[in-house]
Amino acid sequence: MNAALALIAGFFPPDLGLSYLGAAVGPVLQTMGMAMGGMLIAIVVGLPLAMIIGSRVRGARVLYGALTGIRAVPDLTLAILCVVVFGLGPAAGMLALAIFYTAMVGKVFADLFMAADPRPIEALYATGASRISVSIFGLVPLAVKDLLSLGCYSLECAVRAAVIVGAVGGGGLGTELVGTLNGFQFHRAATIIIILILLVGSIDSLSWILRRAPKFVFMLLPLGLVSLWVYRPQFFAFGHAVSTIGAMFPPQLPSSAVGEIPRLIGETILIAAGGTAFAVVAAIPLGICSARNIVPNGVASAVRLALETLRAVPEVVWGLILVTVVGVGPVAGVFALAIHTAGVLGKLYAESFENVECDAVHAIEATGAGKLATVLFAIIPLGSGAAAINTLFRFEWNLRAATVVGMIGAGGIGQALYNAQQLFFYNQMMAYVLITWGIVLFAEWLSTLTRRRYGWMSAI
Amino acid sequence: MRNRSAFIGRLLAVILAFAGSAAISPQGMAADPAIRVGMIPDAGATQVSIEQKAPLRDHLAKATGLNVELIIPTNYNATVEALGNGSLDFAYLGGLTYVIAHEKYGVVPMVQRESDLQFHSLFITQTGSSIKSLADLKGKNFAYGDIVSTSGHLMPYAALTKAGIDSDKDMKSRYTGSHPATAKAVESGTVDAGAMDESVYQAMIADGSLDKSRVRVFYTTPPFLDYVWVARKDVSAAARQKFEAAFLALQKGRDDKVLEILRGTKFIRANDALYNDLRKIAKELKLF
Amino acid sequence: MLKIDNIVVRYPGHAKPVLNGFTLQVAPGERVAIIGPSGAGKTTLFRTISGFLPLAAGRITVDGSSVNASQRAALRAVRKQVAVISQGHDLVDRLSVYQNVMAGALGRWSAARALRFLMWPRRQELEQARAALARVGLPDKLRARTSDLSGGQHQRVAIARAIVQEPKLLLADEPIASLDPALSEQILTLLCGLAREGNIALLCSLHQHQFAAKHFDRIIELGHA
Repeated sequence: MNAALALIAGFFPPDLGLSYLGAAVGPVLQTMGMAMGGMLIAIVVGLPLAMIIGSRVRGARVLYGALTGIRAVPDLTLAILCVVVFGLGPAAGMLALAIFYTAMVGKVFADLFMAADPRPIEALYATGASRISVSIFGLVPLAVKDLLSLGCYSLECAVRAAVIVGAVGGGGLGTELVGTLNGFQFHRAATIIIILILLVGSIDSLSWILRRAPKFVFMLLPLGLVSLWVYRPQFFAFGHAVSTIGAMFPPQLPSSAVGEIPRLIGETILIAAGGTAFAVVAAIPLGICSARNIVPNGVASAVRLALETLRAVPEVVWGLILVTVVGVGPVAGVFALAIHTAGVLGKLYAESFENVECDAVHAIEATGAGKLATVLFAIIPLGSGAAAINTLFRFEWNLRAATVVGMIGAGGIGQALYNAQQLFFYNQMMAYVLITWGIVLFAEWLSTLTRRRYGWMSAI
Repeated sequence: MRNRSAFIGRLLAVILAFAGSAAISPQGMAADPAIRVGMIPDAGATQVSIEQKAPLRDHLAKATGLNVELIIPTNYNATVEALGNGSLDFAYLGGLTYVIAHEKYGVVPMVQRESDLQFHSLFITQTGSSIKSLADLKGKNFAYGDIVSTSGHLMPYAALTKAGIDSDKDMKSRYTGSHPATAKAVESGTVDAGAMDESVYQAMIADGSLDKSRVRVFYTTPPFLDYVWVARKDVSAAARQKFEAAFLALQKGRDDKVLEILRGTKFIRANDALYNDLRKIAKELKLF
Repeated sequence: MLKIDNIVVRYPGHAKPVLNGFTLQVAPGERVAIIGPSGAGKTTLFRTISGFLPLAAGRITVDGSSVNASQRAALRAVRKQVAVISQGHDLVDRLSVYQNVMAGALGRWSAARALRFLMWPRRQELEQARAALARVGLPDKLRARTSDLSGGQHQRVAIARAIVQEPKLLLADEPIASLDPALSEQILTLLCGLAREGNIALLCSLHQHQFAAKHFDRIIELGHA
């Protein structure tokens, strides 16, 4: 325990010397570039895919299934595959992000389009318009508002993900962070984490501005284009890619490994469940303390800042740190997920409490109830529905994240996947990818079922 | 209105700064004819550590007459795949990764340190621990380094097998991912014991990053063949020879800075046939 | 202009047809009202004419070309000739009014032009939209947000879109269902005026007999099939 504290003490003070900050400029640019370029591709490719699905052509279902499938592959696995195909460096990271977020943008908007009121669309068809024109007139306007908020949200996620893919050779801050941690230069790792928090924070403020003045979103376009050009793939080893991907099929496991699968799956589910459970325990008081209709504004802002800090650092980065500090194993994984998830859920809980209907709250207040009674009898019960959906969504997300933190040493199916990949047993790796895929899709199905059963709507 | 134009101005400034610095970043220069040299990720791949390796880069650039870019991938697999897909021309590999890369992508062995012929892995534990021999490791928490490391996994694993211990069943084994991480895990008591590369151990003791009063070595493996510099299959013989000559010419006393980075004293030609023993062991242990 | 010949229409999975042996002819410029209770098949009839529902039997032709829900290209050609105004909800809320109005031209425009128009509308296109809006009495709503319109304005914008479409047949499905009598009067006058001036065949479904008798040349009763 003392040793762990000593290690944590090693993170302070962060190395804020000019020479190191100067050295960090390159990685920051690479990370931002990967995120911007990846998102640009994702939107340019993902939106038309969503329109194709939304206009319900033949084969739309297959396309939709493919997007769901890609989304279920952990981003770290995609990054590893992209490093194999496109060589080391930011190009691989950018393309991994592009693939992952194309699937995400495509799926989210396809859902949006399919849920859209069919009558206006039919009215447009009735004018004799072609399918493309109908998509442009009937679907794109539906997407504009959400495109902006989703775009900002996913740019923030993409920056975090860019750090994650960096950890396996995609370059940028992730590579730098792994390096500093492996080299036990914790004061520099602390610098990288501070930079990451600031980056995510500034994107948050950027999205705040963009929501008020959406025109400025076009300013991001040149940034995206520059990133695309600078980090374009310099290598495209087609033959190598074909033979490597060929080596993954047929997926196969040695008999000794097959017996291990239930234990590995159990460990992964445990990491996800443990991480989510601890996070919920921490997030409830944090959420209450950052809801502006419950506590004074000053307190709420301070707690919210703390939550933002927890949230800005992705699970994998907490994982990398914890693996170094408390050692490899599921405990590191559970806490890595718990810390990040507490930040995410705390913020979402606060929003659910703030968004409760005023009438009902006023009704309770009208009985002469005090502040605390109002919180307990109105605000929390009213907000708990939305909070429950968010928790469920987060658990689903954490199953995927548990696989990813597994790869960096937390154990479970992710670790097995990573070991197989490191030893070049690609057919085994593919078998583990398929198992992961099955777990994630199963969780998605289960959560959709639960939400439908309780009549909960989609929260995001 | 004034606020808005100021905002646009600031945004434009950011865009220009971004575009400008992107143009002068290393990626931007990669278009020049350059050879890309991969190191193994054993000591932390940071921007600073790449800068610290500048004497090696300059030495190679001078000897080959080409632009040299040093790259430290974050894991061994990425290094080998990079040799396969052409994103690295030369690389420094461990014994097991060499054997894999030779089999998969036909990489050509070039040179290695004299010490690589007689390499050892060390088993370490805390100073006050009751562990005195390999047999004492039964039931203990044990740390290997990276799963494809020769000195951090393959050879210690083989030594344990020879001593009659089944690493998968008799002990609780885990992979820390690197030699320094193993050393730190042992030093901090997170694990009872661990196995690591002797040259990394000595370097860590020498620079004080590992406290020699808190760890001790309780077993040293028999000698084996480890690290080697290799060339990608398609690198021309001429380029390869220049690269080899650059290493063979290194002399203690004259090139100390470079030799210190490489943690060696003298380089010799490598020979694939010498790796046959290692191949056999790796096959037996199902790591290859 | 419109010939409906003994058609049978069924919803998928239902054995009982909604329309069974329905026949009707409408000449250019003729104004025909269809009266009937809810569920009598008025909306079904209109959706079938514009090719959203397949025919189980019979034949529909518009200006000589037959409506066939399974042939997309031919169907598009027919749809260009047929403008549809329904009970509301058929404007795209997030587009502005002029964009919704000019959507009537989509049948004539290429996708590239549609995209260009959304981003950079040309002056003459805006003028065309303004003219159409002027005819329905809303010239000042050109750049308004569609979601800000009232029910009557909503309906008039839909009519403006039909004007831009320059149809030969105008289908109005309960255009006054949710409007008060004064507004209903206005809308029907507008529709019938359009039909007369443009020599457009008008087929309009209504609930109220008194409106039908006042504005239309012919009234068809559609009972339960």
